[in-house]
Amino acid sequence: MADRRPQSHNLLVIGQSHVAAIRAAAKAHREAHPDEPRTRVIHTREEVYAPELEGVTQGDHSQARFGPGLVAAIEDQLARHQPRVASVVGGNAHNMLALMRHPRPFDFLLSGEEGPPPDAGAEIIPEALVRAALEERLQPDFARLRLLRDVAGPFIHVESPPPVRDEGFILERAESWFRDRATGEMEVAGVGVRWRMWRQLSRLMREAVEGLSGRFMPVPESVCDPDGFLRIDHAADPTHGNASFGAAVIAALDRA
Amino acid sequence: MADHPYKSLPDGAYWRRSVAAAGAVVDPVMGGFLRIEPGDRIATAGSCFAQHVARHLAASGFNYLVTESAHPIVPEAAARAAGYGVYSARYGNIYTTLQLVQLFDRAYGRFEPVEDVWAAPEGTGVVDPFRPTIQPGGFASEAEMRADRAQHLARVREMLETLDILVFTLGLTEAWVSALDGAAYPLCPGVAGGLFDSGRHEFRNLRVSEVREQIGQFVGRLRSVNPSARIVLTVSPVPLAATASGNHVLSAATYSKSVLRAAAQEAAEDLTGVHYFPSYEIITGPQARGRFFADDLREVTEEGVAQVMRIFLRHAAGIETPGEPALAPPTREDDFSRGMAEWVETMCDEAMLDQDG
Repeated sequence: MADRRPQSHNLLVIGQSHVAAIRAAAKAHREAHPDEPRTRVIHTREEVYAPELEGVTQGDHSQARFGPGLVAAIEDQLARHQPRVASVVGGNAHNMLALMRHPRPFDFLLSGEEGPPPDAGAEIIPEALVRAALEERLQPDFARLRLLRDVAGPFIHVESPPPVRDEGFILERAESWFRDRATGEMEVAGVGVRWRMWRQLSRLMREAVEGLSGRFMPVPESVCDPDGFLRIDHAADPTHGNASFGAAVIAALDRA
Repeated sequence: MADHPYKSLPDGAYWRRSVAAAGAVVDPVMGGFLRIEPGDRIATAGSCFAQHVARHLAASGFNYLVTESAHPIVPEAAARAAGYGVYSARYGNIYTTLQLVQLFDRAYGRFEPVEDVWAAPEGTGVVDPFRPTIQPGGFASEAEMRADRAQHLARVREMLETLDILVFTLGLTEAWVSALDGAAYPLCPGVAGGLFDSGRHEFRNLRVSEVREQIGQFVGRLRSVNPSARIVLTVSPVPLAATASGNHVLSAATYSKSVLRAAAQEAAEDLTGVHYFPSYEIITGPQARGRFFADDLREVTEEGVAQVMRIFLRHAAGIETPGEPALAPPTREDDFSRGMAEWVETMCDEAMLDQDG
């Protein structure tokens, strides 16, 4: 690539499933440019680090702490490579709520942003209650962010991949999963509610990260279509970016 | 000895036998009362005491009608704080009969108040003047509030048209209304949103004749959409927290409860299918010696509520030992949301397997 900019920082990207795209891109980069600084990843839920979290009682994460294996792995990476630390913690709570159309269809109005029009015929839920629904699911991720800051200091958190617009892309993969589970007819949720739920997640994550003196980094514009949806050539599945998405994120982190 | 009408009266007609002798557990229901049949859909509305009635009815195995429930994705605590499940629909406290009549009229498009949106107290967002505390912190925008209100009024219509029995607890006679069109607000403008303007907002203290007339208006309207609906009227024993009448709050509370009690009696005597239940007497009567009030002498204790509901259920349903009311309903996560979480988590696992680096 003629205008490729060499990577200038070691990066350590910590999270869960969204590290896959980073890991794939990092591997390709390492093979192509072995002399440049590297990107390394830690998937906190991999067996080698278990237990990921200790001190969680009945869903209460207020006293949670990283397991000793995970802390040691992060500290080892920091000591050996002095990397710029980034997080892709969580990032799928919105999909659990609004990837597929709920049997009681819902949507909400996102304050301060337009986006696609509300899903016709859907029940409008107050935005504050949608935030509450997301916040409930985000408690483990908020704990992970806090614990990461405690171990690694201030970090950059990378926004979750935007939703893909293409309903067929989602439905194809949903059907193969739900077909075997005797679930009724499945429909992809309206494009508007999927977009708004992702935006709401981003707001909550930004608030949490900035509350920890970290930086929130939006996904690179290059992976999005003009309306802000994830370009299909950057999607691994309906909820994750692929290696090219990962490469764009690495480049953005390196420049950040 | 000469015969006279008092000689053949039941014990309940005599204070010494039925009140002084019975003490706090007096059962003041005499004569015919409403009978709840299995399957009857029971709705509730009214002042804050009605919340207790709703909670006990829901816990007693009755077909408690809820037409406006929170969406299953909303956590239970957030839903409860936003007024879901407190009553049959999300209207919050309805303190006056004027509010009740206007709720019907707003639901059916017969009344469109001029002043129908208030700024939230914190300065961001808006509140619905007709249920100003229903959304903690206010609605994010006027558009959101109007969308929610339209849904709410649709659920109110559904409730009115499908209920078999409405238990309405009369709470107050004092009200603040719009000088423009008489729209009644549950709270004085400025207390929980909006701005008080003495030129636009007027104080009203309803009289017996007005409350009685408004009960009649509501019953007529309800029967126009639900001819067989039955109504139970109760009077909240909770005194006024404050009065704008110019009288001492004790006198003002006595006036208010007296008016409501008298109007309820007249309505029950005049209107077919309208019953009065003596919650007020059970809690406030001298036989209780104040034991059913909390330390603030306003709130009714759980013991008092249980006593009221024990007597209500005895006469309405022949139940002597009602179930304990649940403080919080069970978790509301639905099968769909669980299935979605499983699928997304599976995709997360597969993302790692597929892109091993």
